[in-house]
Amino acid sequence: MKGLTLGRYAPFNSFVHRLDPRSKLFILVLMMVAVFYSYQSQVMTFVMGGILFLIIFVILLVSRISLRQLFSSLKALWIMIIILLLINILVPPVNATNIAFSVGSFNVFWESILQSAKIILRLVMMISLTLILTATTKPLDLTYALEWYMYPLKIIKFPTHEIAMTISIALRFIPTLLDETMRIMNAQASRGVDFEHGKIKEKIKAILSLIVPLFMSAFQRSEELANAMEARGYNPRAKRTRYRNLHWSLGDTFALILIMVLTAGVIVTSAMNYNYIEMIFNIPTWVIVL
Amino acid sequence: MPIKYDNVSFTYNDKTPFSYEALSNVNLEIVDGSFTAIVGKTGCGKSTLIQQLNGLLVPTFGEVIVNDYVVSKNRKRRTKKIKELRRLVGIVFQFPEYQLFEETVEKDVAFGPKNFGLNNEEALKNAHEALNLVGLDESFFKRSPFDLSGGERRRVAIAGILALKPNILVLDEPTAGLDPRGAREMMALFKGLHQSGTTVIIVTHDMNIVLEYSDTVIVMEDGEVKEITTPLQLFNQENDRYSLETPLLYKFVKSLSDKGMNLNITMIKDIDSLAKAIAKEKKQ
Repeated sequence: MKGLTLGRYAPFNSFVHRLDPRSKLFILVLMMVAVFYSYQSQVMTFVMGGILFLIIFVILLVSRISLRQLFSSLKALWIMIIILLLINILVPPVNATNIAFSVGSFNVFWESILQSAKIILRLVMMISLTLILTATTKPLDLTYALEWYMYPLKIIKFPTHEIAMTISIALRFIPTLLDETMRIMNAQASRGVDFEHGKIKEKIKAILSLIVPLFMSAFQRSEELANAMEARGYNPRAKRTRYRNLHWSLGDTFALILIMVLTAGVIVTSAMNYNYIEMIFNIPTWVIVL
Repeated sequence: MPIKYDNVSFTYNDKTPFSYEALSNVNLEIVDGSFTAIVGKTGCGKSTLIQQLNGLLVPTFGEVIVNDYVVSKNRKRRTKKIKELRRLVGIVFQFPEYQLFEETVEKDVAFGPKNFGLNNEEALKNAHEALNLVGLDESFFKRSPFDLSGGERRRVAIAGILALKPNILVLDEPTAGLDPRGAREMMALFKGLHQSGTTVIIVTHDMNIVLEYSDTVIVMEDGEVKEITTPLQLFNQENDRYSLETPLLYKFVKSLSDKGMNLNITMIKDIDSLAKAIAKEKKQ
């Protein structure tokens, strides 16, 4: 179950933790937009990517997410990176002209490598951003934020509360079901089940011995929960208050404005086709064409 | 073949923000053929302790030795035959009735033995024996475990472990949620197994069970072993150090003593011995 701790909420008290989940969600969307903006020259792509990466890195540090955690969530990307490289090398971009090296009569273009590097950089940034959001925000708070954003849909009778309720119950029961899974796995392992090795037939049996009890208890739990809610007179349409209210603070405004300015900068840079490197250093044109 | 915990510490989620030390520096030995009770408050590490016995959990530091099998992080020391160890040490977890999954009771009980390499017939033979042992007769064999009552399901689950014929039987709260009669029958079963040579380790909150059945008590608190003693010694301590409940029998004996009856408390372990002690006192 080790892998499942990735992106799990870590109870620290950093600036990012204290931010309102609504602002964090919005900031995440803005940052994603910024990350996925493209530029005409490759150099600018990497310069802007680098700047964004640095900013994300600083936020990571501020949120007290250990680099170990980041690396372990990037581990799964390895296969993807290799596949990306292969595809880009085998099918080079249309305007590829600069040959990096040749294998026999097959040319490997610089463009292919740069293209892959660009995508990988974006993926890493995307994963870091989501990691920041999930590691600093309690899942329940995140649902409340989602419900808040869905609020306008209430006008067209969209059941926002029910959806938020369903999501929060689902989130609430993930750890419970994980515990349950562990318990059943332990019990079956004590009866000689080997969940890791064995022939396919044995493996199917092993998984069956886990799934059947798990479903049984999940159904039982859902029935109990439904009964408990009904016994307390739960009515989804009733007006209700919350124990924890979302609280917008000055920090949220500050963070939001900062990121908005950043995203605006990125959009303007891309739209106006600015090239800071050219402006500052006046680098020969062949690098820029690249 | 004793069980030995050598300086065992265990930390859940080690090296993460969620790390939590459940056991620290546990040293203990459990001799063959003993009936050992592990007591302590909820969350004191009892369940963690027993899961190391068959290698479901591996100590963060130190090692657990069962027979010649070593459960340890050390690659050189640790046993490669974890499956053999799991047959030797049968663990019945808390609320085991939730581990049933087969279509029929006998198939479910035979599942364990089959995993350990017995063929279908042998496994079914073991299963039938185990089911008879827990008091379920032939009429139950072909029924679906999901049609049974909670108590019957618990018996099936326990039979599932007994069918492995373990030398060491570990029970985590086996009587929790059973009616008094069911609990008594269950304990009588374990007593019988103990008398036929099985080492029994039981985790329980019920001090009456501790007094009546066990010969050794391990008291745990906050992940540490506080005391290894006998039930008589434990319950005769004047001060209530571990906030354990006094067994009903002892409460009764103590109030008799307060009223002036001269009973030798060290001789009393169950209702029979209490009756004998009272009779003896009356004669004098």
